[in-house]
Amino acid sequence: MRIVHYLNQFFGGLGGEEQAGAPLEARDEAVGPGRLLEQLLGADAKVVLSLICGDNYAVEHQDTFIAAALEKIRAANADLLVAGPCFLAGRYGVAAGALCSAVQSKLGLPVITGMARENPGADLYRETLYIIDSGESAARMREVLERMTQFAQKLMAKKAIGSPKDEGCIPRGLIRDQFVERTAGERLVDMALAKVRGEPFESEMAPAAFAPVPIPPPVRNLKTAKVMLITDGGLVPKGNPDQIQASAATRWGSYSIKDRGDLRAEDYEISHGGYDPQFVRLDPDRLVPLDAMRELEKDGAIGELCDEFISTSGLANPLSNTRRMGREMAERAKSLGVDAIILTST
Amino acid sequence: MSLTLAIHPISEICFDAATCLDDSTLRVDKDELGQIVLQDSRIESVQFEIVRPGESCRAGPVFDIVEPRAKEPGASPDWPGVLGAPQTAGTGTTHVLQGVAVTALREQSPGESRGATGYILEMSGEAGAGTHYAKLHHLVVIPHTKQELPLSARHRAYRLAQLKVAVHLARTALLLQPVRSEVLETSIGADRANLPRFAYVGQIFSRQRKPEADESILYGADTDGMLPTLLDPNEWLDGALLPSYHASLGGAETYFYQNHPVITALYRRHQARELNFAGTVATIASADNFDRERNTRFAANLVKWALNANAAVLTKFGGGVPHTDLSETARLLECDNIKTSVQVTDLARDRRVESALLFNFPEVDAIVCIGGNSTHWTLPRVDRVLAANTGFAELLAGPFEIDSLNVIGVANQQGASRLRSVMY
Amino acid sequence: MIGANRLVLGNGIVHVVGDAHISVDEEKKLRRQLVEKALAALQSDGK
Repeated sequence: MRIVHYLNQFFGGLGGEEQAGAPLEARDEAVGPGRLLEQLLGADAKVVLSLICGDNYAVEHQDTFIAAALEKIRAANADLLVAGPCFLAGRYGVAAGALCSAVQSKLGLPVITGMARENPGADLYRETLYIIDSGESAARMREVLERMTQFAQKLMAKKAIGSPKDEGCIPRGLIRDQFVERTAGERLVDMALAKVRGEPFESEMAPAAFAPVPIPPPVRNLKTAKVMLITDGGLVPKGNPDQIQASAATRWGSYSIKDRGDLRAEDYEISHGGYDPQFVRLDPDRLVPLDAMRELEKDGAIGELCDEFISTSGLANPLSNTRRMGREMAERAKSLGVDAIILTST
Repeated sequence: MSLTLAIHPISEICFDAATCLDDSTLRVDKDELGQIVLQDSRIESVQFEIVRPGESCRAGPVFDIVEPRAKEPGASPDWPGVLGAPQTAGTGTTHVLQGVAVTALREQSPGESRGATGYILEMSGEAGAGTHYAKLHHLVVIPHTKQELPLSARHRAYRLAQLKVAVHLARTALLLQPVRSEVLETSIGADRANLPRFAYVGQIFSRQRKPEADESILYGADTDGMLPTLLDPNEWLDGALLPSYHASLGGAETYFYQNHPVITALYRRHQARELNFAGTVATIASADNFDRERNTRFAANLVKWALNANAAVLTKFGGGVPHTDLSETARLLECDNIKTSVQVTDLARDRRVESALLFNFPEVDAIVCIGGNSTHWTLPRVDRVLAANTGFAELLAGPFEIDSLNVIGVANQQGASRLRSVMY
Repeated sequence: MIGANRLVLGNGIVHVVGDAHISVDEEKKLRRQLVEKALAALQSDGK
């Protein structure tokens, strides 16, 4: 078994934080915890390539880093990539996740990594990759490597992968269905009875914890600010040129309102489905208040209204879409020099 | 209140010269049934079909499924408020033709979230294995209503026809000895005082839509303007309740009011002396935030003050808005140290845990999720397809792809589902 | 709502910054008021 092991500057023995800028280096043998990894994987396993990279370099030059690493892994004729374990080291986790993801999709190799649940790399890659839950403490290196090697052996032997709990993996945040013996009614009473007795029970669903988005400081001077209008009510130009879907939309559009004093009914249509659109159809300003904003612009209440408004449909739209679209919209707004946004929502 | 269910298990239905119960065979006079249904001038003609459990047969779109039951005189009439005076249901003796379902079909697709086919009855194969309804003997009723009728009139016609047929069939058992009897009552003597008191809070309608003309939900009333109300468990089982014409999402059928999975489970644990079944609250999902605050508090107060409960089990009727009423009611109960479990439907179309719930209350942590969005079937060609017109018959002939949520009984908001979500 | 503190209540789902049941002039006034509330929120702390 030919193994590639990815480590950061610390575990790779280059040094501490001062070596975080170290570019990618390759060694043709096991390094640091890689030696234990080799032992645990058995006699016929050999770490043929150790890739060591400084955390800052890996994150700041991610594309170069990945491309170079892929080259070397290809050339090494590897059977398995092991990355980390990264514990709580955030840049390490993000880099390991990115590398594993690239190797999995571009080279089709089995990959395994390990990190703490709170590692930002876990958040980014939990869905794409199997990530062993390493916990925070590097003192548990041996135990974590044992679990990683057991899992790797399962992957290589193409055995069935069990539940995250059974495998010691970080839950991937996904849902599947299962038919069971007991009806939902019975399960409800079982759970409530356990709860009232103070006994453990397993909930079939759990709310996701969302990292809070820090609130930006208030606009310092509205009179000089550039304000943009955005809506999730699905107001689009007639013909829906960007084909924004009415529900679970994956697309958004930015539409010119240059020199316009208000929005005319004949120029727009609605791609939504979660509200009765008849009133907005008659006067789109009821959703995107262009006329009021122009007045306020003329009165000097705001510095300038942005030349474009952005629109999509918020109906039944999962976070996997809206998270990305929100970021993209923010980029567009920033590129247009916008200082503040008014989002009208149905 | 004490209700006696006189159970007559049925092993076969067949058409015959007269309607009667012959041991465990239900014989049905088709013409007589036809005459009963055609008393309603809104219905021009009607077909009846018999379907056996496990048969290679499919029917749809399904309007509703009702278990044939008939009450002995001396208590409330059958379907009080709909077929008779609105007297309190849940006492006396009710005869049950167990193992039988009267299944009525629609002439038009219900549209909404269940697409072109609406709910399909699937009696065999992988899909059939996922629903209790495939195990029953069905008397399928296919009414053909007058052309120009508004939809609400059609719905009313289907509703009455189906209930009348179900009662007529069950009346064959009235003078016969049941194979066994069940007595349902929730007396809580002093010797049980140490057991936890349990309440069931069930939504019976959602204000996301206005009730249709003549839509009967609770003793024939349509719930418009209703505030949450106390009901004895037996009232749910014995004809006080009918589902809305628009079930959406997980689905709700009269059959599972009569055989209510949550109430049945609570009764079982009550009889096993694990809990005291203190009672139930029937509630509605709200039209807006203001309405929600009023309704959820009202329901929670009834559980707290009138039922004096230690725990509550909650279900909903409808989609995301009712989901919010459900979670808010549970949260209020948890604030008063009343332990809750709640049943939600599968909202996560993208199969991610983060998309599954619209609430995040740490105390509302006992959640049953009936899943469904990950399961799809290719329904094969079957020997028989029952539908009101050739359009639907062709649509349902197969093979075609179907979401599990479109097969009646697979997901169900009354607690009948054996499907669950697994997080991984 | 998860952390969206600069939140202004609109006039209903079907006409967030409008009203179909009042005169055109009254509606314009209402719209301006709602937008002004939004601008005030942009200048507030958002807590």
